[in-house]
Amino acid sequence: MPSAFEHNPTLSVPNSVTTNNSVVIWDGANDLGEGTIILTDGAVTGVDSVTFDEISHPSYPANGKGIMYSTSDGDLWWQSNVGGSNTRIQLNASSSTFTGDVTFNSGNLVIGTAGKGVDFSVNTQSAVSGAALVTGGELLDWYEEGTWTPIVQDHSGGIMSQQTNGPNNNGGKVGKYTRIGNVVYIQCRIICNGNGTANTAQTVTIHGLPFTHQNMFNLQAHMAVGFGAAWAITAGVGPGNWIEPGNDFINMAMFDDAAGTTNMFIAGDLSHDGQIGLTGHYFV
Amino acid sequence: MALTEEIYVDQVTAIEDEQLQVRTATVIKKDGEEISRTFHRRVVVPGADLTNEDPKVKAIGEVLHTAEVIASYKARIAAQMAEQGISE
Repeated sequence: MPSAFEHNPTLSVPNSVTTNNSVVIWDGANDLGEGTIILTDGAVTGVDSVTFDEISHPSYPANGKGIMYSTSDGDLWWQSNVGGSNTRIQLNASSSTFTGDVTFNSGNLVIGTAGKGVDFSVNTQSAVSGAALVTGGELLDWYEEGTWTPIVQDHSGGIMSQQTNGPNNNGGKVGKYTRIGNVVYIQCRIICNGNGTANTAQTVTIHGLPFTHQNMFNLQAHMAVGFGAAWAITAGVGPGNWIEPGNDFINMAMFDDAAGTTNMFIAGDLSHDGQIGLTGHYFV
Repeated sequence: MALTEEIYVDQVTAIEDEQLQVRTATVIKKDGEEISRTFHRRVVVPGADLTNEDPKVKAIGEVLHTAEVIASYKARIAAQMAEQGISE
């Protein structure tokens, strides 16, 4: 392709020089890096843009160099040579796709619209088989981490007293969560220091979950109690905790491996200075 | 150097049976520039006391948590507990 200057002898670019068929806009000392550059062998149209006329894929440039160009289908290409390693990336104009690995050296990948995310459907059977995509089932559209406050509460709304020492006066009711997609991972530590307003004869539950559990019939979410202390329970019983569908609280029960019975956990079982360490995950 | 802390409800999501998922953001700024943002979450269910709630949550709750919605939510929870053999 001939240079633009050969076909446009009247072309005048203020504050510019030409070098090897390139136009560099500068102020006499510094490359300004802005302005309008139109490289074409046809009619010159458009402003405030850099226009790349279409060419076939050129050879890779010399070490340490990169070139940008477009092809006849409108795709934009960047081709570089770093230490003898050739790299080519493509921005596909017709399908808004990108070819090549992407590294963000500074800054984040920001999703600008709620509900959008990273679509993995190409890896899954529905895409391979051509079957209809399960809406949302292959889209990673949520990541969030934060804290929550576990509160032990009886069924009348009475609340066990929990320690308030430590940072944020929250030492006896510490909880963290991370939500990835539609799964919420939780962890908490509860340290009671009194019965508070709770009725010691009533069943208690753990409230304060960061999200409500998905309301799917029979889909309980099961929590693991990895730590307990100072409980007022009899030998041979162990805890079992779970979240019922559609709920924002954790049920607590005691399994009696000798009697083979299950009883709900009451405030008196936890006792005024009982502790619970719990972890688990559930769907939203 | 001036450090400031702002705490506010930045997200309220009404879900099935009008439970409100509430996210509170704590934003730390240094000389006006945000340097930290952390989240705390909880759920406000129909029938919960809205008296001391954040104004945004209270306003939404007062609209959505009608007597009918509260009754429906409580009936669902009661049915679950009955199924588990739990009595209030």
